[in-house]
Amino acid sequence: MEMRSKVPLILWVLVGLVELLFVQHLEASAGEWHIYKEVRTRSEDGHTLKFCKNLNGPVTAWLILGKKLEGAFKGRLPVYRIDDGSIRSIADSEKKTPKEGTYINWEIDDGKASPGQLLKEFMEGKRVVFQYYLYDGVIKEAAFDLSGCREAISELLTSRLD
Amino acid sequence: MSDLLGRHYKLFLIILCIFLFAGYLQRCNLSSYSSRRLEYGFHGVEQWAVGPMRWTWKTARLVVDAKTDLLGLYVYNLQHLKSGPAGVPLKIFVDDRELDIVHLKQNYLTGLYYYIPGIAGRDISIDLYLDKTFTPYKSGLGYDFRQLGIAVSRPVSLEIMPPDGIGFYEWESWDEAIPGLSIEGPVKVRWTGRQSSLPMEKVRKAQRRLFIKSLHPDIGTRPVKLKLLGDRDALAEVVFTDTSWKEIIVSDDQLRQNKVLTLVVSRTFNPKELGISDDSRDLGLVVVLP
Repeated sequence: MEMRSKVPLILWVLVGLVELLFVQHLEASAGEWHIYKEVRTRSEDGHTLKFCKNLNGPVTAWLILGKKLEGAFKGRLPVYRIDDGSIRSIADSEKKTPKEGTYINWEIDDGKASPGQLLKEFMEGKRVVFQYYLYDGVIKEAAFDLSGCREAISELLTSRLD
Repeated sequence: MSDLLGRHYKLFLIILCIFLFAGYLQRCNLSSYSSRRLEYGFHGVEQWAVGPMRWTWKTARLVVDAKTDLLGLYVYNLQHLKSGPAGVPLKIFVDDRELDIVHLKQNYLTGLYYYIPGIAGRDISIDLYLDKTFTPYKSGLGYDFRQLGIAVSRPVSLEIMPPDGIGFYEWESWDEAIPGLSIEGPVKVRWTGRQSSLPMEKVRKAQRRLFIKSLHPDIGTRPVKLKLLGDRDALAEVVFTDTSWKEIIVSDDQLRQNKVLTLVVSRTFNPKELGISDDSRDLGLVVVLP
C-alpha cells in the first residue's frame, strides 16, 4: 500500500527528469534537432498516404500498403490519378526510395516556395487512386479521399521556424 | 419412435426436403438471390496474402457489379491439377460470350485483365470452365476431401488503364528488320493474348502506326483474324494469312475519339501444347510497341 501511494510521486519525478534532460539536450545541441511534420490519411482497405516535411526541406509523399504485400514495388512502380486528371507515375520522380518493403516514398515538392504543380493537384483534388503491381502481373488499386487535404498540406507547408 | 415416424413420415420427408434445399441454396451462395445474381461452383472463402480466394468446382459462375469497364481477377493453379503439357486450360465467358482460353501454369498466380466496353454499372456474369478437378486427399495433401479446381479471387474493377496496357506478355527485344519501320538496333515487341488493350497514348507515341504479325504454325491453312476495337465501336478488321508484318494505321479521328485500343485475336496458339517449344504462353500476335 505504501509503495502504491508513492507511484504518482515517482512518475512526477520521472517526468521532471525527462523534461530536464530534454531541455538540456536541446540547449546543448540545438543544431542537431529536426522539425519533422507529417499529415496522413488512410484508405478503406487500410493503406496509408502521407506527406512529410523536414524544416526547410522538401515534401515527400509516402504510400504505405497496409497488407502484407512484400515486394509490391519491386517491379513496376505505382501510378496514380487524381479525379479525372492525367496518370502520373512515381517512376518519373527523381528522388524515391529503393523498391523494398511495402512502402515507397518520393519527393513531390521542393518545399521552398509556393506548392508546385504535383502537390497542388493533391490539394485541389477530391480523390486519388494509386495503381500498384504485384508479382505475376496482379494489379491492385488503393483509393484515398482527399477532402481536407488542402488544409492539411497548407499546415505542413507553413510549419517554419524562420 | 417408429410409430411416430410411421404416422408422420410425410411431415419428416417435407422437413428433410426443406433442409436439403436450404443446403443447396447455401452452396449456390444465394444470399441475395435474383435470377441474375446466381453464383455457383465455389467452396468457402479463404484468406490469402493477395486477398480472399475461393476454390472452384469444375465449372463456376461469378456475378459482379462492374464499376468500370476494366475487369480483373487472379487465379491460382495448384500443381496437383494436371492437364496438358502447357497447363490447365481455363475457358472464360462474360455474359455468355467467350472471352478467353488460357493455360494456367502449375503453382502460379495469374492476373487476368480485360477491357470490356459497356459493362460499367452493370451486373455481369463470369463463367469459368475447367476440364478436370483434383482431390487434395488423393494427392497426399491431408484430410481434405473436396473436389478442387482452381483458386479464384473476387473480380475487381480497375479505375486506371495501366499505362503499359493489359493482356500483353512482357516486353521482348527482337533483332529483326521490319519493312517500313526504321529503328536502329533491336525492336521492342510484345505478344498479345486472345484479348489485349492499350491506352491510345501508346498508339500516339508510335505515330499511329502499329506493326503486327502472326506466327501461328498453321497460319498458311487457317487464317487469323484481328479485330481492332475502340471504346465503343470496331475500328478495323485485319486478316493474317502468312507470317509477314502488317502495318495498321490508326486515323487521327480514331485516336481522338477513343481512349483505349483493344486487339481481339480470333485464336491463340500454345507452343508447348503443340510440342514446338517449352514456351507455355497462349500467344496471339506480335506487336511492335514503343
